[in-house]
Amino acid sequence: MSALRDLVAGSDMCTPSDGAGPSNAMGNLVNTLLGGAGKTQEQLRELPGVPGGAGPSTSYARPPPTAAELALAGGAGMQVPGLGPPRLDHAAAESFMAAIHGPVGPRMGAAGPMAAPAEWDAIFHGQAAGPTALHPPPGQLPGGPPGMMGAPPPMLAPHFHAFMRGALRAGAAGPAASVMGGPPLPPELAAQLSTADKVRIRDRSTIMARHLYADHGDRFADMQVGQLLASLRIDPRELPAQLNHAHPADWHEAWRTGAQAAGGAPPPSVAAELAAAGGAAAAAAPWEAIWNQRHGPPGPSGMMVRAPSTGWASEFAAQHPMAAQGPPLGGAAAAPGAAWATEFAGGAAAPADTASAWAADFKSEQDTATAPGTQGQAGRTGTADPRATTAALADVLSKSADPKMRNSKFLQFVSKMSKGELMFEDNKVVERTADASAWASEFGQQHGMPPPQAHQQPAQWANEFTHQQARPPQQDWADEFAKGVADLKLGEGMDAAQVEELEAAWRAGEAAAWAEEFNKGDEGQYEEWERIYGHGAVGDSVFGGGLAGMAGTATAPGEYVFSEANPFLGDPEAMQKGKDLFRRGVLSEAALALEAVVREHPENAEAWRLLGTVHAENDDDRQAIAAMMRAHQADPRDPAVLLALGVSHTNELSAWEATKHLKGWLAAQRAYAPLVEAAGEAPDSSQRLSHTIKLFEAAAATAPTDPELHVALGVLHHLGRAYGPAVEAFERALQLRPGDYSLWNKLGATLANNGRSGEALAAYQKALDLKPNYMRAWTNMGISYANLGVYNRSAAFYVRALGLNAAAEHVWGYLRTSLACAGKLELMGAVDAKDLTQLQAALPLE
Amino acid sequence: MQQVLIRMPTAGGAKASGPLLQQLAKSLETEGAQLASKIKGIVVFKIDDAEWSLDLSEGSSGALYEGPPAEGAKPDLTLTTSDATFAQMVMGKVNPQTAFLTRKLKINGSMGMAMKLAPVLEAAQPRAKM
Repeated sequence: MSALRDLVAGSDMCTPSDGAGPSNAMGNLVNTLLGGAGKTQEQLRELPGVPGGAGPSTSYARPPPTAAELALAGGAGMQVPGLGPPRLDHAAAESFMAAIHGPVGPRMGAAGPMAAPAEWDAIFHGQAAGPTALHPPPGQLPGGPPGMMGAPPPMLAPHFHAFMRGALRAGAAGPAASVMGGPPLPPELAAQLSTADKVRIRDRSTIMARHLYADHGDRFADMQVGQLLASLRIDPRELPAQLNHAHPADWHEAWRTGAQAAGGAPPPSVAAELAAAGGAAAAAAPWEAIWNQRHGPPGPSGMMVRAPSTGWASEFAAQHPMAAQGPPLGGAAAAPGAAWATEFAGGAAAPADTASAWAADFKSEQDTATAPGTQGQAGRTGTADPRATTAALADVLSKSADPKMRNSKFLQFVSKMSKGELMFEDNKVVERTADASAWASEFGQQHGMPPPQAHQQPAQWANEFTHQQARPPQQDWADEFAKGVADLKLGEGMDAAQVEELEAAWRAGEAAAWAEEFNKGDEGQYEEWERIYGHGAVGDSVFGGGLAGMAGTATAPGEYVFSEANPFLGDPEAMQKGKDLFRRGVLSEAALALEAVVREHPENAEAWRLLGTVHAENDDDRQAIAAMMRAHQADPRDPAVLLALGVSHTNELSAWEATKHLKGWLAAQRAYAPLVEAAGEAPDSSQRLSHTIKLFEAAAATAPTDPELHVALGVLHHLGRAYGPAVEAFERALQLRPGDYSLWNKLGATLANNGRSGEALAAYQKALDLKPNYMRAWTNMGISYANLGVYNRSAAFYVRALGLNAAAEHVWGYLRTSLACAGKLELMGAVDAKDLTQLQAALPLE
Repeated sequence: MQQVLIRMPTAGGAKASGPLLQQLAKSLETEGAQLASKIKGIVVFKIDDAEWSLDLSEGSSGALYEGPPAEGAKPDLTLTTSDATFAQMVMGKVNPQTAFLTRKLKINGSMGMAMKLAPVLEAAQPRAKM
């Protein structure tokens, strides 16, 4: 272990004194910032994953996850809200691996814990640029001596971190051996590597090795690569000099290639999406690469880091067939996830019947599943993506107990790298002023938008969106009123969705239940009615029930507002593209693609649900609720939808709706339905919330390992402004599912609303580390900084959020508030003009 | 029960106070009655050229709407301020007493009520979303 520390710390046994290589430059930087190598070693003793280490990252303290927690958490892995509960199945696990590691799938899966060090090695050798023929010395073939590994890699820490987690699980395997790639892979595993995989491993390794061992010469580097390849049982002589996949193809071509390669495979399951989202940051790299190759670097903004030898198309293709192999997500959908959890944690409550069958079927996939859960860091770094790498590094650094370390410029630098604000170009760091919106608009052009719209800027697009929404309220009211009268549903002025929902419920033979609900719910509907009636009577441009969200909307609450110009309309692959864009965090574009889907297939529950999730992440609960209500109509018992509705209604402070949906969520799960029935209804409406909370607490007592239950309980407490218990509930959920970015945001929002903005920042940061384009978390960061009185920084975060979703009217308002408090009235003109470029220049996010 | 009406600030003349007033209106849905029990009166905000009435009469559940108090009711307190100062007061950058002393805030009516405004301003603060 101490030898490892020395290696990580870059002690002199490895570092040549001349310090010429790039690795030494970085090492020196680290040393300078940390006050010398000795200090560095001190820090490294605090590494998370080393038992007893890991201090709090900032004022918000969390104990480091233990190995058991990590194992348990593996069941959830990277959770994507809206993509459903942890329905990790075989396909999911595989495609998760595919997503994070590229299409290396089977090898990684089967190799399990040992694969991480191998991957680690690959990273250290590997970042691709061009094909290079390799001629490793034959004498050094299988598993070359670890000691040959020369100088310490510059950013070893994150990998060390990842490795430590791996090593904890690997047990018997000696750390030193593991670091160097471990024992060679068994031949049957190596045989599963495709030629493309091998070429990719070789190319990436070569470039990285030559970079790292620049001072030893290319020959030395090639030898190292040879050893790595030998340890993976790859014979370089069998490999072609170059892969012939879609390098210069644009995104569309890449897409088609991917789809064809998938051979008409069914779309990836929900869980597969979930998995792929985990690798979103990674996958975004080749995406950008393809874009840039075709169009050249877009000015100073989109500096490319990596050479795009990773073909997105082939990765996509590799991912699809694997997803297709998985079992269909049917009624037993929840079972695999639970079974999986049982297997690794040995304790989760699993429905034994389906679970055991599943477990037997997929026992061989154990290790596949282990990797995403416990080695998320390793997985992300496995892409050799600088952003992912730095994210891991930032994670390690931020957990350091030493405030000097935590506040160091180096950490800030690394953190910015990980968020894509800084990029490397020709060994120089380039600040990335590019905003996603610019890219998005160009993306729109590329998607063959008709010429008149081709140079639409996002702001214009947003205007159009707004314009389209701003229909005369009288009209809406009239429609609404007519609907109410026609349906003779007591004219309560519910929106179409609710009316249909009620009708469906009625038809389903739940008339009695409906009547009861209606009676209990008269308050809420009365309010709704009043609101709508009020609008009509005043005939003014007033807000609907939502009050938040889109600009000047005058639509009835609950009505989904489509955008007008949609390049995805009529695109048969809109669903796949929408999912893909969502994974990559291009939220506004993803919303367009999904809108195109639901316009053609209004009954597509999954598309509505994803659309709702996208809007929630884009901080638009009004649209999120509207979309989720449609998903709810199509599939009234989908727990993910019910939970999302509960959350969004809580955000909108609609207590009655939120409670109703969260209770529905509980009732929709077989395990808890009896509890709900036994508890019955609250004696009167004023006790509805407390009654429901008691119900959830009873359920949580029976199933303490269900993270979703804790989430729902936390939301209910938040709704009741019992923030302390809400924080506790979210923390329990996070222990079970530490990779869920939306959960970190929920924890942050709860802390912030409880007046603990300082602690909230750390939680938001965690969410953003996991999902850099999480617009809601950026906005929440801005709110927290404003509450802390740091108005300049708050404004900068709002600007960042608006860069991701310029249509968020309320964030423009918050930005004005913070600018007013900061005394920067001179920027108000730029806000009025919605000039994001000027604002970004004036309010850099340090 | 009174409904809450908010005029959305138009894009050109958008104000910092816009989203804060929206948040206030929204908060009234859940805390309106509680606030009314503390304030017990009608407060009028004159922010730049806009006028907003906040009805927190005793026993009501709270309402915020644009324009003078409905049905000719008399405001108990009128606060006249600028958009920026309103934002600063809500965000806690400036407290109302300081704003008053520096003449950024004019107060007409019940001084006692003006001293109890803190919870109202707090209810207008942006809330983090989950």
